[in-house]
Amino acid sequence: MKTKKIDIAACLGSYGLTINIGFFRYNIRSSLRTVEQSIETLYSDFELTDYETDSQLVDFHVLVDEVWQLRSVFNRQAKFFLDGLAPFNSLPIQHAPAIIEWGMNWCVSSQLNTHLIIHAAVIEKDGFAAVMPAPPGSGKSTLTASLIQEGWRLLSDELTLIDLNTLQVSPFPRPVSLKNESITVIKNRYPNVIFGPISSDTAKGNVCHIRPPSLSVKNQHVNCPIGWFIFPKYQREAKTEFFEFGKAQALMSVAENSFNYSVLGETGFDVLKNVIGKANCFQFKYSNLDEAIKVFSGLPVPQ
Amino acid sequence: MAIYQRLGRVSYTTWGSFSVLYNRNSGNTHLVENIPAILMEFCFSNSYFDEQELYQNIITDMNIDDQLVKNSLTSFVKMDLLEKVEN
Repeated sequence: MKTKKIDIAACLGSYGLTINIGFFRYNIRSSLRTVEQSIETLYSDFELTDYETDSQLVDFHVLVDEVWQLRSVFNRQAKFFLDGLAPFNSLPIQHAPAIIEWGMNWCVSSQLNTHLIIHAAVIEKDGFAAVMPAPPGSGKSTLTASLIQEGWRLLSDELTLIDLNTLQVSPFPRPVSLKNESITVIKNRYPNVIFGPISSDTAKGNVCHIRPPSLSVKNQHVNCPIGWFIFPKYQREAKTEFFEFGKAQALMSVAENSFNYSVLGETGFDVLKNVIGKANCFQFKYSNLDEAIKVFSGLPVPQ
Repeated sequence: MAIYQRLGRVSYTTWGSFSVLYNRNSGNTHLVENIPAILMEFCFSNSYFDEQELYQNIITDMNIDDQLVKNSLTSFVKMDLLEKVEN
């Protein structure tokens, strides 16, 4: 959906580069070459504009840049800023591509209350969304990265945003974050997938993001009702198991994985009661991606 | 027999034998099993209720085990959904 070629480095280094992701508008600034490379690689299908000549309002003004402090003597540091404030400690400068991705997710997860936000990947097929709430290490990103290469539309790898009025998922198709062995798994399995720069030795190990599919970006304003809640769990050498999960237990699990359920109060409960009431809920244990893809292609059609 | 006071407005939903209760005042959410919906309705639809009335209206008519009712009331008190105000 690129409109015209712009000088990404020049925009990042001056007033900022604006990107529309879902219904959010970011203005990003950075003088770091790795951030520029990362944005150029991962966001090439998004509409990118020069903030200086763009008259539209921006939701988040983001900056990632090198900072100077005592430990910079031994190890150059970079920091994330939102509206001029730094919510996190600095990290080694080589983690800058990951810092900006984490920070951009944080902007939404910490500030948005027009939607119920669940820590979950969400993908769509045939007009219904499959929400996959899971704690880190459950293999949801690897599964998501595979399924979006198999015809599913990426709505989000990390944050499921449920509109409080329509109860539909609002897409937020950001680059998919892969860690450690998952990077190799996806590289070997899907050689055409485009990877951004790798951030090595972060607190999560090696982290790398992949470019969202063009069609997911193109349809980033198309909301979607929820058909399934699937709670994935990757377990090495586990036999594939897919079984129904009680809706009451599912509601409790989704609430636990939500960022703002408690902030929304009764509205959050009502939203979950309604979306879970209409969806099919499953637990899913897997180790084999081929079998996982097969399970997803045979999901029961929602009523 | 006691009088019970509801400590906050409670929303609930039931699927099969499980129910999820939401205390609108505290914001706490609870998962419970095997508590009949009619019992929850009786306990949470008014600010106060008389345990004796509960036994007369619900337990006798609906043939619900009174031990289950006692346990349910104890659970609701522990969850800060109800308070025993008078003996």
